[in-house]
Amino acid sequence: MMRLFITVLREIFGLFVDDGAYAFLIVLWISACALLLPLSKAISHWGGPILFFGLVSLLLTNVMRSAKRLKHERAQVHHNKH
Amino acid sequence: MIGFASAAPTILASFMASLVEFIEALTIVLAVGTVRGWKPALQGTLLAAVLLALLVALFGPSLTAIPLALVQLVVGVLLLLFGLRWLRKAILRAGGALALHDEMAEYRKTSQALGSEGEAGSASFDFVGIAAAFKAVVLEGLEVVFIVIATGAAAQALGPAILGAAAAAALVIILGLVLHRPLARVPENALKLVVGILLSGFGAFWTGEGLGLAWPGAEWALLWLVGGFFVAAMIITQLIREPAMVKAESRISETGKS
Repeated sequence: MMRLFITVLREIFGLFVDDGAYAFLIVLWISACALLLPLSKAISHWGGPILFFGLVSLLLTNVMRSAKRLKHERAQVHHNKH
Repeated sequence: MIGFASAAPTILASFMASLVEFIEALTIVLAVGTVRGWKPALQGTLLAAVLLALLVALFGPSLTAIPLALVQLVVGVLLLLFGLRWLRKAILRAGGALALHDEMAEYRKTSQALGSEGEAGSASFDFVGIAAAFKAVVLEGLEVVFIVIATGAAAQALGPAILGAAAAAALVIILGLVLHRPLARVPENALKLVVGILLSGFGAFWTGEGLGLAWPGAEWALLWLVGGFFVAAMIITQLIREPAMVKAESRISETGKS
């Protein structure tokens, strides 16, 4: 029963976080938008799109980095096999 | 009372996201049913369904007591974490960097594991079978509960969100009863990409609403956000595609044309 409870807790955490740095940067970007955008009226009109483009940039950089890492790991496994 | 036009995106998001989770749960329940018998499979599923329904009944309505902006912000951030995580994985799979999710392989793996657990207990109570079905439905169902509560509470449309999830459950149950095997032909990875895009769009919109940010197009911003995440996902997928994969695909399409 305890094992199931721990599995459930781990699953709930895993719903939102599998790459810790990625999740942290998303929260950091949202916090930056919340704190900095209201400071300038001119920029705050573009608050929504700024939030969106920041998130897309985080997605882009993370996926590129992960793809490169996974490719490198595959090559390593292939190299070790031969 | 909310109109169909405003409820439709919530129903769609809840339906599609729940569909993916129910398909994964069905695979395990079918494996339990085939290896250990249908009685423990259904007992475990039913127990899990009751627990999940209790969670929705407990947490769903209680969120209406919290100020809407706060709910939108918290739910928006959680949906963003959830949606962008799915989107990231779906892009990596679509781009060939990660292996595609295979329901048949999962089915075989679970069947093998359950088969090695020894004979089913007494005819009336098979703990291993019940526990396996219960665990699978609870774990996959937790994601459904979150999606239903998140999409429903932030848009103040819990009813439509439940409707979407219930429709997905009904569809998967009917298909499971008819086919009696995992839904391997459902393009699950493509579905996950779409769900990731939808949930990221919803998450960004509600986070912005919770923070009081301005959206060009006001409520219609949800449409361009979903479109924006879709375009971004397509571009990023192309960027990470390995040249060999692109070559192979063009060869396949050329063979198809000739």
